[in-house]
Amino acid sequence: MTELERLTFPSADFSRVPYGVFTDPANFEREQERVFRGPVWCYVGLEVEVPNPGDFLVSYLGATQIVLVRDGDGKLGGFVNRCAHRGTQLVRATKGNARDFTCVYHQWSYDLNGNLTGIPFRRGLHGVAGMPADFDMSQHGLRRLRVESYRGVVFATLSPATEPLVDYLDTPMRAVFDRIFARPIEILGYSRQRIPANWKLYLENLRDPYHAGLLHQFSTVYGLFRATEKGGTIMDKKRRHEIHFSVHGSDRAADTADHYTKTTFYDRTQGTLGYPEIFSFIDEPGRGGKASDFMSIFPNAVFQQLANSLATRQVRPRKVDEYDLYWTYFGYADDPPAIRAKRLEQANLVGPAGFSSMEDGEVGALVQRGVAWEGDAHSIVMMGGVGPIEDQPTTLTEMPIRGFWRFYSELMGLTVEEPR
Amino acid sequence: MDVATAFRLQNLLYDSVRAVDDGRLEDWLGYFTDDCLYRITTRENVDQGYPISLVLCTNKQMLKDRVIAIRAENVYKPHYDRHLVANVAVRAAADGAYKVEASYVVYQTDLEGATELFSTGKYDATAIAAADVPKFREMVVTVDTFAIPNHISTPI
Repeated sequence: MTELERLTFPSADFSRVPYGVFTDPANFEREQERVFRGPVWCYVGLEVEVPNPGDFLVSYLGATQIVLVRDGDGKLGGFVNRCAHRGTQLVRATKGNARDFTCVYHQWSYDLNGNLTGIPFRRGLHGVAGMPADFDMSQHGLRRLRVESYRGVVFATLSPATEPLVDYLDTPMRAVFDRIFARPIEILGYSRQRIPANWKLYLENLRDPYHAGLLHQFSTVYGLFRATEKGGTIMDKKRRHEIHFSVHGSDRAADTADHYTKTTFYDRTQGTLGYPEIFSFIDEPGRGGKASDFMSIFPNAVFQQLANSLATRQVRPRKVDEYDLYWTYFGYADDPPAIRAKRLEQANLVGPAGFSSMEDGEVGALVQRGVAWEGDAHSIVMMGGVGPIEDQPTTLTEMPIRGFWRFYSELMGLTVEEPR
Repeated sequence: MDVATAFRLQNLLYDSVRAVDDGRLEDWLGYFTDDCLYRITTRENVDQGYPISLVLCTNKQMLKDRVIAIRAENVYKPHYDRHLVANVAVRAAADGAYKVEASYVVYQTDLEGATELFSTGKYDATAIAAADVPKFREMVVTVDTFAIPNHISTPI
């Protein structure tokens, strides 16, 4: 039996996850085919990053580098970043504007739609050498992607079988996009983290609001997020995407006292922050006082509102035990100066040095270390209940993690034990 | 500028990073003025003209809160830091202040003694030397290694 054949989910409700999914190199390779070239839409960027004809940016479908480009007619398209001739990485800048793309190796060139338009010495020299007479350039363009966007958020897929993007996103997720991207946005910058863990540990982490009020003690101690606050999780029909939210300051003092004073950290430094304004946020249209709103779109993206900090997070798998986390920070083009300053200030909460986010990469690394050589052992994902995978009226749940694995194992064709 | 002043400003930089390397983060705070700006950004954002910071402290209280969080709340990779600071240039600026520019390399060593390059980049600082005690009024760290290895916890 190969390693891959040994990967079995021991519970049909996905309440146990075999560690091999995080450590098996053959599984990682299969993901590139079944997940990232499969019938899913991967988040690749924002339309505002490529506003003009010829604008391009380099992004990823899993470990595969792709180029998102706006063509001469203003239409979005994309291709795998590989010359059709000998496989050279074609575009080297991470973003820019181009009239065409030319490979450095033999100067084969392509138009903005990925059509092969030029081959030096195609007819040889003085009738000697050259490409075969029947070589059809129209059949040798770049490998094209299907690209669609919703509210200016751009997704790509390599599979002809992928359903239309609006259907893929489903109703609750579209509602979040409708709200967050209701006004024109402006990019505020980027950050990147290279994390020594399997990429799926990050997607599990974002579908696990249970950890948020326990691991991220800075937020908990100083009151930006507590598990005792009102909150909940919402999923799509297939349980592959997830939204969770919390309402700032909505918890009862008695609950907080009962549940948090028993932990070792709560109240240790309460009230000693020199600049508590770091948490104060300005309510924005449609948010209804929600301090945090996190939406994960299968397989690779997170859209975040934390206080007034807005960002997209894209997961870029590199190896079975390493991924890049790519953050795109944004605001609205018509932000008044005070709210813009708040967004820049509250970027302190997120990103590589985030008060409430530096832990997420670290726990992934800790799991990766913990599960090494234990591919047959499994985790326990039961907080919030076992059995059917449903929306929850609380953030005390790991249930959306089970939804992730259900959809993932279907795509991957992994074995699931029948219920006993 | 006299040589003694240049030496004091150079030592301000050396002493402050030494405090970080020794794990004396509370002492590190002492090298900044109360109205200091401390900022970590990346070469990628600077080159593209974006305003985002990875760390943005617009006063010393915020800097202090970073130290509180590192001591009490944040969970991060346990490590030792080692700064190497080179190409230090000290120049007189307006208002009797001084510009201090330097390149840095930070290595991190884990609890089992393995050392890795964590970050390289540059410092662009403004220092004042009131009452003969030099302090940073502004410290902008621009990180070249903008694929941040895991995360940033202790100050660069």
